[in-house]
Amino acid sequence: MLRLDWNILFNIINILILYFLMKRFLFKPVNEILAKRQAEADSLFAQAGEKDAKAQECREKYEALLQEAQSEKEKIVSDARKDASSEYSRILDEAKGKAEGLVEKAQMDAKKEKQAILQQADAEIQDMVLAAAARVAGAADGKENDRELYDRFLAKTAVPNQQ
Amino acid sequence: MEKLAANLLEELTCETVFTIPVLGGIGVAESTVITWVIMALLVLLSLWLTRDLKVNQISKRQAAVEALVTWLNGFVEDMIGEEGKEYVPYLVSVLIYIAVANVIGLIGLKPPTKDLNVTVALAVMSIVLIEASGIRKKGLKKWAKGFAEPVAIIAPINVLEIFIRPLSLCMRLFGNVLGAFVIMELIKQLVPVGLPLPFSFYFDIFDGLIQAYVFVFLTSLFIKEAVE
Amino acid sequence: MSTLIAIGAGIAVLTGIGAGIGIGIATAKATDAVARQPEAEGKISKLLLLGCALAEATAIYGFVIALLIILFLK
Repeated sequence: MLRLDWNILFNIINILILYFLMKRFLFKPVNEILAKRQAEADSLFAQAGEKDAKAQECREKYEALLQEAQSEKEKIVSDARKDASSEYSRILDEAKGKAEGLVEKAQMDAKKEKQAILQQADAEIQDMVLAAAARVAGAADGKENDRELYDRFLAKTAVPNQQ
Repeated sequence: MEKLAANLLEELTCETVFTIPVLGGIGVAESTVITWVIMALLVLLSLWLTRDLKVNQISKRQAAVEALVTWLNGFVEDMIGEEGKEYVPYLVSVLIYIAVANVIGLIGLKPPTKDLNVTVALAVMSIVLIEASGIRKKGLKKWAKGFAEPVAIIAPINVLEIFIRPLSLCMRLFGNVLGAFVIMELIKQLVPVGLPLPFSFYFDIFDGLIQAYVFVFLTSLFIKEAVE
Repeated sequence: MSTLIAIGAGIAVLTGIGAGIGIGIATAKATDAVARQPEAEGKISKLLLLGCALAEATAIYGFVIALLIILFLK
């Protein structure tokens, strides 16, 4: 129980050996694995951060693209509107011109027809007058009376004829 | 009564297991041999525990050893502080060794810490480590000057402390383990069945672990003091 | 002779008084501290355990000395 001898030295050596063995076989592998896991976790975190940044970048790009598309769309729409309005006015003008042409033509046609009708009427009246004159010549009573009647008739029919 | 005393004395003596035939025969004590057994046990255990460690999808065994090592490291680091981080593996080794040595009485072996040789060796290691850490941290000159603080007149007491500290460390461990051992032997010789069990929990397990803790705590306290 | 040995061992074991008083005071203070700050119970009980182990060492010294006296003084 109470003896002190060489065994102190043996025990010191024992403890030192135990310390190195423990360090080699217990602490080193465990600490290594812990460090490895830490490194992996760190790298994972870094990767996640990178991915996050990338995603953010992507989102920004996408938003910019969206904005561009929006502005393009607006431009296209306004262009189209402008085009449409000019086309519309062009068509309107064209239609107006066409309509005017038509109206003119119709007026001309109407005038021509009127002229033709009038000429026809004139000829008819002359025929009538000739017939009447023939009758008057045939009857020969009351020359005065007939002449007056003839004149009156002429006056009546001449007014539209001169227009 | 005489028989009991004789039995006790027999249990208390540290027998020489074998003798190395040099320098007139160096007797290798039982405690040294049991320390070898403990070392072999610990190394085999740690080899088994640290077999195929993986980073992911760890086994329960690996989780256990990781938790154990992290806990022990944190435990000692808390006591010694950030400054003496490099001494943590040694202190943890000593903690494991003393804890196993103190509770090895449970499997029928004599605790090696019951032998003064072992505790003296541990205490010598501790004081060497304490002073070496002080010298490493402060340099030889400043370390030597440290004895004259706070006033020069107490320098002898400070020098004396170099011897008192390891003495108290070694005697505390030795006395506690010896006392626990003696009481356990007495109880075992009086009532061999049943009664030793609850006492064994206190004297072998609780007291043994507490003394291991106290030893490492005081050593790390002294190291902390030395490196500050 | 054996009476003297017994007396000597008894005196040596008196160191237990100091340890008892010390542990008693430490426990009383620890109880006080826990009552004041129940959240620090873990730390306090750790310190108490350490203090008790240190105080108990004196009793152990006395016990060892008593044992040595009985066993070796014949």
